[in-house]
Amino acid sequence: MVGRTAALDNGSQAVDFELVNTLTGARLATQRFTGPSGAMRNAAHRVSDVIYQKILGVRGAFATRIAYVGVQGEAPALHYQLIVADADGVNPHTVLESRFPLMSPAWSPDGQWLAYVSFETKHSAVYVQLVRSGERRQVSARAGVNGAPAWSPDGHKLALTLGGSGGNPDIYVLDLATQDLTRITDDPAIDTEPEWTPDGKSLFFTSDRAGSPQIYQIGVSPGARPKRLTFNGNYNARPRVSPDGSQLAMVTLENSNYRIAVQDLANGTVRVLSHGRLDESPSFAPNGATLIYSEREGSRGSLATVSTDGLTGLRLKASQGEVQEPAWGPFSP
Amino acid sequence: MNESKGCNLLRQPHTLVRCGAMIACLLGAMPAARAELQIEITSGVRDPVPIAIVPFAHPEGASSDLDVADVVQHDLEGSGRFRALPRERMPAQRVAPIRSRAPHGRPSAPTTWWSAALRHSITAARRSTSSS
Repeated sequence: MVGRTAALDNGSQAVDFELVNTLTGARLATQRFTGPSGAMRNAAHRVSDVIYQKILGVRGAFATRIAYVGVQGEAPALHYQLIVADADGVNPHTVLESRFPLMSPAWSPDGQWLAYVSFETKHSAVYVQLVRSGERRQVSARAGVNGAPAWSPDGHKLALTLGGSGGNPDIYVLDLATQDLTRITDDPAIDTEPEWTPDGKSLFFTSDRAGSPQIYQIGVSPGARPKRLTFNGNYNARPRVSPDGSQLAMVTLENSNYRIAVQDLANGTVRVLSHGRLDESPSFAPNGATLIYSEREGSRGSLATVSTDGLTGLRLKASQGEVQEPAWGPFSP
Repeated sequence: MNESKGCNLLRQPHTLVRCGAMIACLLGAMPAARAELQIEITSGVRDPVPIAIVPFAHPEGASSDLDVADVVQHDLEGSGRFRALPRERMPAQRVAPIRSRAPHGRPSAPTTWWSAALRHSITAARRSTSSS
């Protein structure tokens, strides 16, 4: 791969590159990315995306962003940060800071918003926040639990875990424009961690209705009945579906260790991908080729990635404090 | 209290830890310091694709503070599926200042300006792949 940068007459910068097969001499790609000088790192990631696609046949996800929660300080003086960074961990920006826990960041499908849970009022509440400006609004602060927001594929709704005080957690869908709330599950067990199917017609969720946490799927239409999807072992939780809808990532209990696994939704085959002791919070890259998750190394939380074929992995370690609950953002336009 | 309900939600050990932290953190705060993330490659494929990433030419006037080739190399190697050839074996590109006359289109000049670098990197790549 060869390339150059160039200053354009209109003040912006260009990155030109050419990818050539050194055995055949064939040109695989010739492309230019332009932008303001501050966007040159993004342009470089786009070059990587193209090379990855031309050689491996899958679009790269280097020019994307991740959100995660940083925890600084020592108990009892912990400090929480909601951070957005490039997918390689560079350019971290704190979009929210709090003395109270921040949890469960979730990207809107257009990558403009984050939904999350904050305990800043000393009770759980769900907020949506514009990443660029920081402008935000509280969308659910009902009595009891307000948790686990998940955006619908059309970006108009949030699936939530709500449990009235004295009630118990069930899955609901909140229409962000009308504030209409639809109850999806109604069960004395704990139902939580909703995740939309890519077609927006049903939700995956975790429930202990069968005695141990397992993953179920339920239609969002009234009267739908849940179907159990996981049967391996006695702990399968935190479902996340691949962008093409073919695989379900989850946290599974394997030999007393919490690990990231993927289940093929067509044939039910389960593969355990991670090797940690307490791996949690899987989130698919928008190309479906990689998962990011949190792990615990010693007593410190860091982030890690693993490819869905289990062959490649990275660790993203915080220079200070801990990082947890990663959420991989969508492709940018 | 409401929080205790939330803490039991998943019945995972960490939620108990978090719960303790939650109660404790009502008491005070510490000044924030932002955590930078440092990447460490933990596993990769056995036969990564060798790739020659020639350092980008930075003609006069271009923003040369970002090393594009270095970012690309980190991306591709971090994926665990590529092996970049040693940078010291890549030719340095010497390019005369370029003024682009086609800001939004393809490079205005034919891409022959990098043909020498390309020739060098092809030779380096072939040498490297045949010796490994």
